[in-house]
Order: sequence, then structure tokens, then C-alpha cells
Amino acid sequence: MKDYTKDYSPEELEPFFPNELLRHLLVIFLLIIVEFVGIAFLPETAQDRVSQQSASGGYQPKPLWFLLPVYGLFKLVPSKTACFVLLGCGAMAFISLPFWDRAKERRLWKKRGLFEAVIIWLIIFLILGVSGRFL
Amino acid sequence: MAGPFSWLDERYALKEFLQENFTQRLIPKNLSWFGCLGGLSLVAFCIQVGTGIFLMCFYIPSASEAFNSLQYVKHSAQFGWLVQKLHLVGAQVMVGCVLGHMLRVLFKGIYKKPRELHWVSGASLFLLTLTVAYTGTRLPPERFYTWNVKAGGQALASPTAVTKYEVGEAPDGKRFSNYRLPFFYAMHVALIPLVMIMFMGFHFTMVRRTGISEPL
Repeated sequence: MKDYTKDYSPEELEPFFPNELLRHLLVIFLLIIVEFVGIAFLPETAQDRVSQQSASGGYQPKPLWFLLPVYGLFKLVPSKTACFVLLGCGAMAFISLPFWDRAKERRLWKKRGLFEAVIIWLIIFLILGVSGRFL
Repeated sequence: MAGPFSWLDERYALKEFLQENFTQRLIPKNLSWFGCLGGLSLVAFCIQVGTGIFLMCFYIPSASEAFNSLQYVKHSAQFGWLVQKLHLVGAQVMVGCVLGHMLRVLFKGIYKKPRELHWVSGASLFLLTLTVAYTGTRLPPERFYTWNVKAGGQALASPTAVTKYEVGEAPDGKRFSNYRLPFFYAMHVALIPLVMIMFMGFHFTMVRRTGISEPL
């Protein structure tokens, strides 16, 4: 385990127990609260609506929000193979980011080119997500 | 000191472990609260595993039984409705936590040397999280025809109308087989979580070794 006493002065350090442990417990409680708020207020799964509407055959459930960009991609690009190639290339580029971003600067917003590329990538995902929702 | 603690301490040096990792451990002051997103992702994963094990006790991965088993969980099993909805909401919260953690690491450039492999394992975990969530959305019967199977939906909403192996027709004319559901189920409950646990072990070992990144 990393020993911070070598790189920091005693004034810059604090005990993990109880300080950090309490912070972690607090955010875990917040997470649990968020989950229960979701249980209380998020709409019921599509199951009941399917039961009611399946007789007419007009019901088409949509994937959850985080899968909508991929769903939108499959809807917009007719070839399944092209979709899988695009997704595979995107995933490889995403995973290998530290090996092709060799700049010394750490902050993304200070890096010309990469910052714009990330913003464009986020906008494309947003557009695909929105199109997946309405297509 | 007597009792179970000293018994464990004698065999596994528990006191030393607790001192090294908790009571005598020092960390830098003023850490960002957003740094907790990685740990929260792990907590969300643990909640998913717990609620998932509960659901596994009731869910039957068969096209003719899935609907009824889910109805049983939601309406008859004690607190089944709560656990089922917690699993559904928990998946979205987990994806949110992992996504937030990844965006923070990306924007602050925390993947730089010597943390390149932290990113590789973390990005793989993000993609695996999306995959496990996707396979999960294919399990409830109302989702069978979400992406590529349309004709099957009508029959699936009425479990008695489902044939033994073929339950629908995809737009490209291929038949939607009953075998597909156990495949998604096995991926969702066994293969992908196991791979995720392996990547997590790798990720946390490296994070412990290098420690947190210095502030910008």
C-alpha cells in the first residue's frame, strides 16, 4: 500500500480512521437514499403496460437511458456489421486512451484536439441517445 | 485480549492488518468528495449482487416461465417487489457512478503515467457494466422484443401461448429461440460478473499500490 508519509508533511495528512471512513459511510448512505428515491419515484417497468397493450401489438419498449445511444446507432446504421465494427473500434480507442495521449499536460480542457474530440464524442452519444429515444 | 478476535489475530495477524489499513493509516487532507465515486460504484455493484442473488432464487430463465416467475417475485414473495425494483434502480445508479468516475478521471487526466493500466481496467469495467446491464434488460419478458424480436412480444405477454422452443420471429426472418434466454441469463449472472470481479481485483490492487493522484 502507498505510504503517503514519504511524499507529504505531517500537516498535510489526516487519519483514515475515522475521518475518511466517515466520509465514505456518508456517501454510501447518500447512495442508498438515491436508490430508494428511485424506487419511490421512477416509473414502474414496462411490464404492466405490455400486459395492457400487447393485445393491440403496438407497444415497442425502449432500452434504459444508458443503452439508448447504442440502440440509436443500430436504428440509424442499417448494417449490423458496420455497427459492431464502429462499436469495437470506439471501445478499443477508449480503452487505449493513455497509450495514444502522450502529452505531459494532465487537464483535458488544456489539451487542444483531444478536448474537442471528447466533446464531439459526447455530443454524438447525446444525439444517438435522443434519436434512440424517439426513433 | 481474549475471545474470537485474539483467536483470529493469532492466526491471521488481524490487528496488524487493521492498524495498517485503518487505525494508523494516514492519507492526504482535503480529498475531493468526487473521489468517492469509484468506491460508490463498488458499493452499487455489491447491492446488485445481493439483490441479484435474491432474484435468482425465484427467476426461471425459460420463455414460458419467466413472466410468471417475475410476477411471483413482484406480487407474492416477501419484499420481492422492493428487491426487484432495487435491482432495477441499482443498475442505473451503478452505471451513473461508473460513468461519473470515468468522466472525472478523463477530464482530470488521472490516467497518466504510472496509472495507464488503471484506466485500461477501469474502461473495461465500464464496458462490462454496460454489457451486464444490457443482458439484464433482456431477462424480463417484456424486454424480449425490445431490439430485434417484434412478433414474439404479443405471445410473451401471455405465457400460456408460448411454444416450447420458438417464441417469436425477428424482422430478418430468423426464429427467436427459447435457448437465447438461458444464454443471456448465464452471461448476466455468471460470466460477466466473474470477469468484472477479476478486473476489479486488478484495478484495486493497482490503486492501492500507486495511491491517489496528486491534485492538479
